[in-house]
Amino acid sequence: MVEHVNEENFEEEILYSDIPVVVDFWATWCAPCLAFAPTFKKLSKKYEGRIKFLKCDVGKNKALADLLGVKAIPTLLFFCDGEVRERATGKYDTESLEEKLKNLMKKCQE
Amino acid sequence: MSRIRINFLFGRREEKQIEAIEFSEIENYIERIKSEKKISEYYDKLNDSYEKIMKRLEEAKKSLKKLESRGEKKFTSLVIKNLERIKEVDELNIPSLQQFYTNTFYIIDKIVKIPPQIQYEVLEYEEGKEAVKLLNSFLKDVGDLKKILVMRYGEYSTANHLENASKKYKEVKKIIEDIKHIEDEIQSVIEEKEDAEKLLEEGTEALKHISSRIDTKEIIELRKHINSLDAKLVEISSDLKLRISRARRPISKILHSKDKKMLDFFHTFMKYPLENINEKFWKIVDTIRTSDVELNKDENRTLNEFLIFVEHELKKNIDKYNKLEEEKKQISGILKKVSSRNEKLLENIENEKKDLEEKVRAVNKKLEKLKKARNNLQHLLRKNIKILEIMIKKAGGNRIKIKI
Repeated sequence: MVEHVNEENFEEEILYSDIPVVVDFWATWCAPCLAFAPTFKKLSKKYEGRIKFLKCDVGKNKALADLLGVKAIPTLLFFCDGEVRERATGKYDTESLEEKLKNLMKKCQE
Repeated sequence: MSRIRINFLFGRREEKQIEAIEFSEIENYIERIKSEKKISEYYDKLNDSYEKIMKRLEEAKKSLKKLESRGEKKFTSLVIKNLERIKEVDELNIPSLQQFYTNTFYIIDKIVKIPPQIQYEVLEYEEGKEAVKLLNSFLKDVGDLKKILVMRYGEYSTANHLENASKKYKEVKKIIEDIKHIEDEIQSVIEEKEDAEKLLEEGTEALKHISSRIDTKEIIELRKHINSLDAKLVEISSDLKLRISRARRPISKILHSKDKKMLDFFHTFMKYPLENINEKFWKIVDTIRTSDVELNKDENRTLNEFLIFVEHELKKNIDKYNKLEEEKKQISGILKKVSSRNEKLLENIENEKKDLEEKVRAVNKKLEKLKKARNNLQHLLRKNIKILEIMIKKAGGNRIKIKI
């Protein structure tokens, strides 16, 4: 299940999550973001309970995007233990995103 | 040998890592970590950065006002209006400085979006150049504050975790108080429920008792009495009917020759003889007595028997009949009164029972609602306790288990 993260709940949702977190920074006016959404949702179901999937609307949370250094969208940030482990900008297909998720889980276990 | 050693070490390490702490001790525990860790350096950086911003903000505002007095209004009024919206922080801590940065970010966004032509016009003046320079420095300082704030996720994360842990501790404390409050409320509702159920039980018993008393006693007795009166009345009425029926033929013969109206009355008289005994009947009796109509021997005897019955028994029976009728009327009245009183009593008790049933239902509903609210809070408590444990661990404390 994909939940939304904002400036208010960002720390609690990401920093203190006991599982890895992936955040999709998107906006309503961004066509590639909208095209990527189904892939993100599909993988969120597949990895439920193992990885937390969050979305952040940069139109509503500009300061948060700025704080985390998000300059373009769609951008994915991969967190492990509250720290950014990887950044990925642009649209991803299911296979390459899944590859990144597996790497993230591996990194988090190290 | 080596296997035993490994198990032993593993066991020891686990034991040392998880420390069980009472929730009431958590505040002191956080304070202890705070004193052990060097976090003042980070707060100094934040404070310096904030003070620098505020100083630069005042300088920029002054310079813009100077420029405004030269006649430049378009740009300055827009910028000053937005800069005035930057509020000072109440407390110099991470959350309020983050909030300050976030608010400032949106205010700056508005300034940056002022059309370039308007922005460009101010550069014609020396004061304008100065103001723009100060504004750029202000923007740079805000950017510097951001960099320091981001450090709370890196090298100064301890300060952030401790700040969050203190905040979370207060949140958890509030949830525990709310749960306690709900528990008290649940207890009082349980007592209320028990009282209502007891009253309902008593009401049901009273209803049963009254119902049985009504059915078996007074009303049955009264009904019995009325039935016996009815039987007596029928007996008297039948006796009269029989005697009149026997004397019918000679009476009709006499009346036929004397009085047509009386004859008609006599024919309808038979239906309810006792109710119809009135002046006309006595006139009929009188006419029979003084009649000179010729009757045969049998007719004469029957008529004489009828007249003797009228003279000696009928009057007596009529009085008896009327008395019985009156008694029946009175008893029926009593019966009606008793029935109505009992019905009212039953209705009141039934209404009371219904009210109590409704109350028990309402109390049960209230109890369910409270239990649901308590369960939700307990779920929230478990979630927040877990987060607090992670916060403390990340802040450099041991891996702990909070006991409530």
